[in-house]
Amino acid sequence: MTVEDMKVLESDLERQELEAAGGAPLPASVYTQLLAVYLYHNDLCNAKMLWKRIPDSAKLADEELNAVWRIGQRMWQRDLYLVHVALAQTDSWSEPVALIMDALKGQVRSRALELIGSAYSSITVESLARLLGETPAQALASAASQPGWQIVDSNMILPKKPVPPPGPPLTSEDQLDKLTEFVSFLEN
Amino acid sequence: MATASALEQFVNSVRSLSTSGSFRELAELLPKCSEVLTRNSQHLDNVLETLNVNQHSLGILAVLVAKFSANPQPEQADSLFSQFQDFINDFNVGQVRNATDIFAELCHLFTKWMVERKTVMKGIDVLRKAISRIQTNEAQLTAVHADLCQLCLLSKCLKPALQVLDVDITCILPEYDPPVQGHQFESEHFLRYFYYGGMIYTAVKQYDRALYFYEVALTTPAFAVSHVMLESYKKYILVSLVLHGKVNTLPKYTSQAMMRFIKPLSQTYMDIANAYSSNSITDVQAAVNKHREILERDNNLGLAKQVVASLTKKNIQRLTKTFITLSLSDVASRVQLAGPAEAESLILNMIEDGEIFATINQRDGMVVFNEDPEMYNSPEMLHRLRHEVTYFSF
Repeated sequence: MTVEDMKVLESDLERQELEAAGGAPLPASVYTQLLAVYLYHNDLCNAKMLWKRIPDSAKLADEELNAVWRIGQRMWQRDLYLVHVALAQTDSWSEPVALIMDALKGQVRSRALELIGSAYSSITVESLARLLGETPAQALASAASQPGWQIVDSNMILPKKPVPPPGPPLTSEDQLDKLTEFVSFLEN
Repeated sequence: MATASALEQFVNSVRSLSTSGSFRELAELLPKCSEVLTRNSQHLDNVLETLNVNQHSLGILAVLVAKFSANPQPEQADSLFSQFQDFINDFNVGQVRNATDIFAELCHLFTKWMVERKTVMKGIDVLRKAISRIQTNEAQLTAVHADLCQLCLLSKCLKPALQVLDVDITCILPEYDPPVQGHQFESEHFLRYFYYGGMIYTAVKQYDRALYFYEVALTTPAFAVSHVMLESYKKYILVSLVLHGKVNTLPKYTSQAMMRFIKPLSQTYMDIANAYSSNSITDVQAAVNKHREILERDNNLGLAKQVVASLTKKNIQRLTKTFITLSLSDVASRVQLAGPAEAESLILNMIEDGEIFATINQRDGMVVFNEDPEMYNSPEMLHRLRHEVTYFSF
C-alpha cells in the first residue's frame, strides 16, 4: 500500500465513523483498520482518542482490535523492543487489516533504523537486535545491508547518519523568478 | 380558534414577507412570534410542512428554535434531528444572514440537546456544515465554533475540530443589531472557542498552538475574571511549563482585572510553577501530590504529570549547556534517573522528537552533545522563510 493509499483510507474510515454515529454500530473491523492506520502514521494521540471512543461492545467482542491496541500501547510507551514483541504476538491478521499491519511493521523497522543511524555513533549487536526485534544474527545482517554502517570486532556496529532526502526541486523558472524579484527590489 | 389563527397569522406573515423580500422585517418579527410558536408546539410539524426551506428559511428557523426550546420528547428525536439536518443542508444563506443571532441560538439549543441525550458524535458533521455555510469567509468566527469544539471534546473525536481550529480567525460574524437579550455574540462563545481549542491542541500535543489559544482567551478585554478565563489560566501555566520550562508573563494588553485577581485564584498552580523553577523533580512531584485533589477536580492531573516528565527532559537539555560529552551513568545521577539504561532510552526518545542533538556511544557508554546542525542556508529553509513571511503579510 502506498503512502497516498494510506491517507485516502484514513479519511475514508474517519468519514465512515462520523456518518455512522448515532445509527447502527460500526463493524469492529472499521475501528481496527482505523486504529492500525493511525499507528502507521505514528499518530499516537489520535489513536488514543479513537480507543477511548470505541464502544465497549466492540472492544469485548473483537480480539484483533485489542491486539492492535496492545501494539499501540507499546508505541505510546516508546519501548521499541516491546513494540516488536507485541507485533510478533499475532501472526495472522484478517484481510483488510493484514495489509496495514505489514506496512506498519515495515514503517516501525525503517523508523528504528533511521533513528539508530542518527542517534548512535556505536552500538552493540545485542542492543541493535533489541531495537529491531530480531536475533543478533539477523541484526548483523541488517546492519551489513545499511549503507555506510561498519561492523567492528564482530560485536560493535558503527552506524552512519542517514542522508536526509533532497527537498522538492525548484524549477529554474522559479529560481529566475525569485532572482528577478530580489534584483528589482535592490535596484529600486 | 384563537391559537390556531395566531399560528396561521405567523405562516401568512412569513409567506408574505418572504415573497416581498423584506427579510429584515421578518427577522425583527420572529422574536415576537416565539411565544406563539412555543404555545402551539404540537402543531409545529404541520407548520413545517407548509413552509419551504429555501423560500421561507427564516420561518423554519423560528419554528425549529421553538421546537428545541419546548423540551422535545425522546420519540421525536430522530425526526427532529433530520429536520435540523435538512434545514442546515438547504437553508437560504442570504435570508438567514439577516437573523444570525437566531441561527446561533438554534445551534446552541441543538448542541445542548445533543449533550443531554449523549449522542454527541452525531452532531459534529451537521455543525461543521452549518459553520461552513453561514460564514462569509473561512477565517470568520461564528458562535457555532464553540459548540463544534464542545461536541468534539465530549465525543473524543478531535480531527473535525482541528480542521476548523487550524484556520486563524481574522473576523467575527456580525450578529443582529440591536441585540435581543441573550442573542448577541456573547463574549462567552469567543472565550469558550479559544478555551476548548486550547484543550484540543493540548490533547494532540501541539503545545505551542494550545498556548496561543489560551493566551487569546486570557487577553480578552474584561472587567471581571470569568470562570473560562480562570480555567484557561490554569492550563496556560501547565502547558507553559511543559513547553518553555517557565510561565511566560502575560502580554501588556491583558486587562487590569485579570492581572490583579488571577494570581490569588490559582495559587495551586503557582506553587507547582515555583517548585518547577527549582529544577528538582522531587520538589515538583511533592507539589503535585500535595495538590492532587484540586488537580483532579480541575481535570488537570494528566497535564500535571506531563509537567513532571518534562522537567527531566529540561534538566537533560540544561546539561548540554555545560558539557560536551558525559557518561550515561553521570547523566542518570545528575537528572535523578534509575540508571544508565533509562538515561539512554530517554535520550534516544528525545533525539527522535528533535528535542536534543546528541550521539550515543555505546562502546564507551558516553553521550556526546552536538550543536544544532541546521545552518539555515539551504533552499528549503529559504522557501520556508518566504512562505511564513508572506503568510502573515496578506
